[in-house]
Amino acid sequence: METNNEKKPGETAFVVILVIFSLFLTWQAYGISGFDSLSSPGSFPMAVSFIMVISSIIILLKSTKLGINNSILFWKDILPKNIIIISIFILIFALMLQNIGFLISAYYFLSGSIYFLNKGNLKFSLGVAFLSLFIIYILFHMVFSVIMPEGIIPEREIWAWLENFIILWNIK
Amino acid sequence: MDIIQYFFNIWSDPSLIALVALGTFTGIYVGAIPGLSVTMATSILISFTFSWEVYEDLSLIVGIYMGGVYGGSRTAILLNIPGAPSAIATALDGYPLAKKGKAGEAIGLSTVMSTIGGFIGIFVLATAAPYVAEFALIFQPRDYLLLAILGILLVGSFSGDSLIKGIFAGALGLLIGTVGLDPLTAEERFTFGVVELWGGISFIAVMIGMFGASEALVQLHNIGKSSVKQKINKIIPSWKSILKYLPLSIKSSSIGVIIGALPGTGGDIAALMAYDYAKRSTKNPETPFGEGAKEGLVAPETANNDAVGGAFIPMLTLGIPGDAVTAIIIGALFIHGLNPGPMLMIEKPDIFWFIVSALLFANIFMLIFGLTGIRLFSKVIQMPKVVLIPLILMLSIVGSYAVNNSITDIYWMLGFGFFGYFLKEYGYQVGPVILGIILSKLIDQNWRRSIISEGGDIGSLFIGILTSPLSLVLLSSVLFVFLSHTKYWPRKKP
Repeated sequence: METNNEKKPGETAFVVILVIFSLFLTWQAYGISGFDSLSSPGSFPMAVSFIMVISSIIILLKSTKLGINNSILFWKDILPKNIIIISIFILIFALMLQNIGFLISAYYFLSGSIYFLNKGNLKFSLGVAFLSLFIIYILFHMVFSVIMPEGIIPEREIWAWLENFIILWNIK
Repeated sequence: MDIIQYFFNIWSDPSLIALVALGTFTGIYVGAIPGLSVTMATSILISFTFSWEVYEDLSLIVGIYMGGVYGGSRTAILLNIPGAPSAIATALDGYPLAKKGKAGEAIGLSTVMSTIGGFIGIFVLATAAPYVAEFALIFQPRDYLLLAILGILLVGSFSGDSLIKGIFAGALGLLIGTVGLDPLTAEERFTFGVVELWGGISFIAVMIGMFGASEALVQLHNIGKSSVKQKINKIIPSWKSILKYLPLSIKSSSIGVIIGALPGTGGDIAALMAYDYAKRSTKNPETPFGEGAKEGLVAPETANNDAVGGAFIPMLTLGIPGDAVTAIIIGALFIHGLNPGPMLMIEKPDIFWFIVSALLFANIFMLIFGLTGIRLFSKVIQMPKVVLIPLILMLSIVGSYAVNNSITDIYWMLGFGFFGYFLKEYGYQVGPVILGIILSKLIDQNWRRSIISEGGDIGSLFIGILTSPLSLVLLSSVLFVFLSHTKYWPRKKP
């Protein structure tokens, strides 16, 4: 059981990072206009980053006094395999998006992550991913007018061809 | 005459009414699906609708907000998982009622009471907001500074168990809001020489990362858990039952709207206070509180939907958000080039009356959708997470890209998503970060304007605050709210 008197594994390291990050930001804020005047562009960022430093140090001091909750494991409860794998999937999706295009990268992401989370059911994953992507793509295109990177699939040409086809069909 | 015209704008356009209906429907179901929240839905949605006309965008968002606050109570009743912070109090007696096989009755009663609360909140919004806005015109920069500080103290109620973690998160948000060129002097702040950062970090990207992506990652912990099925029977409550609880509902409304209208408090506090009031004022409940007392369901449900109307008062008249969703709605108004505050009421009164009208429709649709479609509802809340979570993550990517067609915004979103995940894992709330971003500009600019108007002398600023009755009242409110969040404030022992 987790209690308020115990900390989770990795918590102290996380707070140390927050303290260092806050100190870095205070130094950067000081660099904006130093102690020039109370109305200088750097005055508010300095005050705020100073609050971050103070609060993170208080959190760190409180954290050091707490014992570690041994029933919680970092790689099992804080950063389990599910989170790591899905994070890798989503990072690859983001990297692929610009060059490969939305349709292929989104299909890879949806089918891959559903397959992984569903513990292997390829047909289900491919089918659900296809159906979801189809609905979302049509919704974005028609309702929200959101244009995603097309990458290697010539979407504009396909849409233009479809529009021409429908016009010709109606004429006939 | 103009007011009537603005108010009826929405009535003349069926597509806007349809959008309110769609928003309310979506809000109810999003709020009811465990793992989804109304803040998550609103933050992702505004990235898709930013190119729409402002009326269309507002119709959808207002519907989602109203529906979502109500929808959050359904998971609280059925699964003991409040879909929104404002539904925490609902779970206390709603879930015990469901366990007794009275889930349908509880849902029906909460729907009707939410609707009554909603109407009262909207009425107060329509009557009080114009006066508040008119009064706010006399505010000096120092008064706005104090008001914004009052708003940022909302971190106290956003902070969960640890106030100090809330303060850190709020300060981080304030700092993120300063990134870019200083609006007064065009000096670079935290840009590290990167030109892309001159315009600041995309508010939408931070919001989707913090509320959308990080929450989806958190939900991966519970991927294997199957949802508990509750039997839902007849849900339309009897007249007798409605009339019995109507007096309590009206009393809870007054708590809800006042608490909701205060900058720095929202539906969650309103609901908890109304619950506390019901517990103290009900002499002989049929069932003890905590074991399925209907009074314990009626009071918070009336108050939290009532607080929706209340929360719009400081948001529209002063530019101070009442909760995380109103902070997001302020962001949506910014995208449309609108600045919430007293000048909005003067320059764009149509926006205000449109929102009032849309809220009214949303409330009616909430009643209709709330009392129907139970079979569909049962299916939707059982949607498998193995499909839902990848979809949310994909929508987060698309949403963060859509606003500026920028891949960089996707990386910001992912960065804040992963950071938000660790913040949540270690007991920090992400709400204060968003609140900080929204209020950053207001505090920064009014602080500097105040100090410049006093010739750079901080002593004169303090004298100005202490000698102005308005500033003094605001300063007292700031001190009161601050002290009430500390351990030094006397509290009743449970």
